[in-house]
Amino acid sequence: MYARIKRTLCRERIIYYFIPAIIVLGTLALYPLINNLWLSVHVKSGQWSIGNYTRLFGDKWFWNAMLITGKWMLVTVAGELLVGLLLANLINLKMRGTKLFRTVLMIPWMTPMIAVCTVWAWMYNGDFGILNYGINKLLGTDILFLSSPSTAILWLAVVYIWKRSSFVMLMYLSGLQGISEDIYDACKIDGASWRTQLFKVTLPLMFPVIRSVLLISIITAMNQFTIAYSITRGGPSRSTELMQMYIYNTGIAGFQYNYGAAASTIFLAVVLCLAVVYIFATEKAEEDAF
Amino acid sequence: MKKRKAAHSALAYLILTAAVAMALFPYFWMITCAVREQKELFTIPPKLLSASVSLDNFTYVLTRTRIPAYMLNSVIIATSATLMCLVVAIPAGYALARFNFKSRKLVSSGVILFKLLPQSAALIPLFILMGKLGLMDTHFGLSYVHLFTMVPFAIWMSRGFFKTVPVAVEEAALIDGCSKPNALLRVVLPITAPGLFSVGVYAFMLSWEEFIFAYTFTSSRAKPVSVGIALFLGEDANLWGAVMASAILMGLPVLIVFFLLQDHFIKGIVGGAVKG
Repeated sequence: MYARIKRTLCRERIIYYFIPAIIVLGTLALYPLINNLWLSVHVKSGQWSIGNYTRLFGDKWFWNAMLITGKWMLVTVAGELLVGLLLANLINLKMRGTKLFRTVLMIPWMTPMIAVCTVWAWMYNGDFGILNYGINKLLGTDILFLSSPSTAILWLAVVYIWKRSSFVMLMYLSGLQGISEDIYDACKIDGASWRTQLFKVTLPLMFPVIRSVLLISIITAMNQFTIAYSITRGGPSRSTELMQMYIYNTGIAGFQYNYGAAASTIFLAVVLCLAVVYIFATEKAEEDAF
Repeated sequence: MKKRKAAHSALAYLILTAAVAMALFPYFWMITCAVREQKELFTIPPKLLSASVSLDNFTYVLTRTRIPAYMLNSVIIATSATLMCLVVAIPAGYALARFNFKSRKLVSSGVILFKLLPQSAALIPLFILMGKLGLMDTHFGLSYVHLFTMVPFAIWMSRGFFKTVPVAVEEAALIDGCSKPNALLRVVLPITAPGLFSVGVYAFMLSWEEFIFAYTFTSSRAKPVSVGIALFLGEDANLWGAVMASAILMGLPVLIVFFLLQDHFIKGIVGGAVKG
C-alpha cells in the first residue's frame, strides 16, 4: 500500500516539471490554434459560416500564394540539400584545415536573417548592385533581377540556399561521422570502388539522416517569411508572396481576421501533415537514442 | 594512385575555397560599403574597394537614427524572453531526459510538433488577444510571444545536454542524502552549465532576429532592431551605407558569441534536429 502511494506520488510529480511549459505553450500555441479554427468558421458578426472557405477556394491570390510557396519549397530544398551534401562530403575527407572551412562556412547560417537580407537587397539593387552588374556583364545579358515576376522568387531562393546550406552540411556531417571507419576499411580490403561505397554503404547508412533533413528543410522553407518580406515586399505584382505573407497581408494588414484565419488553418493543415510524417519517420532514431 | 589522390584533394580544396569565397563575399561587400562615402556607393561600374575609408555611416546610424533605441529594445526583449524561456524549458527538458513515464513519447512528439508550427497559425488570434490585454507594443508582450519559437527549441536542446550526464552522478548525490530537486540544482545544473548557457544564448538569438511577430505586435515604443532595419531598408532614401552599417551593428555581436560557443551550438542544435 505504502509503496503504491509513493509510486503514484512520484508519477504525479513528473507533471510539475511541465507545468510552466504547459502554461506558456497553452496560451501561445494551443489556444491560438483552437481560436484560429473557431475564427475561420465564423463571419465578422460572429455568425457560423463556412463562407470563408468557399471564398478562399475561389480566391486567385490564395492559390497564387500556394503555388509560389510550393515552387519556393522545391527550389530551396533541392538547392540546400545538394549544396549541403557536397560540402559535407568534402569536409568529411578530413584533409588538413577542414575544421577551419567548416567554421567559416557556418557564418551565413549564424548571421541574423534580416542582416543577410539587407546586403543581398543591396547586391541585387537594379541600378548600383554589384551582383546585378557583375552577372549581367559576365553573361552579356540585361537581367532585371528583382523586377521580373517570373524569376524574382528564384533570386530570393539563392539567398535562402546561401544562408541555410551550411546547416544542412552540419546535419549531414554529424551523420557521416557516425558511420564507423571500420566499414570503409572493410570496403577497401574487398576492393570496392568509391561508387560502390557511395551507393552500397554511405547512402543506405545515411538514409535516416537524409530523411530527417529533407522533412525539416521542407517545413522550414514553407515557414519562411523574412526574406521575401524585407527584400521584395512580395512584389513584383505579388510574385513572391509566400503563404505566410498572404496570411499576414489579408489577416493583419487587411483586418480580415476570419478570412485570414481560414487561410492559415489550411496552411497549418498542410504543415501539420508534414510534421506528423517527420515525427513518425524519426521515431525509430529516437528509440535508438534512448 | 598517389598522384590521383593528390589531384582529388586539390579538387576538393578548390571547391571548398570557392564555397568559402561565395559565403564570405556578401560580408566583404557589407563591410566595404559601410565604410565608404555616400557618393562612392553609386558608381557604375561598382567599385570593389573605395578610395576613402570613413566611419560616417556608423556615426550617422548611432546619432541620427532610432537604431540605437531599437537595439536597446531588442536587448530588453531578448533578455527577458531568454530568462522566461530557461525557467520554462529547463525543468521540462530535464524531465524528458531523466524520467521514464508512459506518455514520454507523446510529450516529446508534442514538443517537436510545436517546434515546427508556422508562426502564422497563431498570428491572428494572438493579435486579437494582445489587443484585448493591452499588450500591443510592449516589451513584455513581445518577449512573451517570442516564447512560441524559443521554448520548444530550448526544451529539446536542454534535454540533449541533460542526457549526457550519467544517471550514476545523480544517484550518488541521492545516496548522500540530497533531495531530488536539490540534486538537480546542485549536481546536474553545474555539470550541464556550459550546455545550458549555449541554450540560453541560442534562445537569445532567436528572439534577437525574430521578425514576423515583432513586426506585427510592435509599432513604436517596443520596436526591436530586426524590424527597425527592415523598415530602414524599405525607405527609399538610398542610404545603403547606413543600412549596411546598422546590419553590421546587429549581426556582429551574434557572430562573436557564435565563434566562442560554436562546439556547444553544433552539438545542441544538430543533435536535436537529427535525432528528432
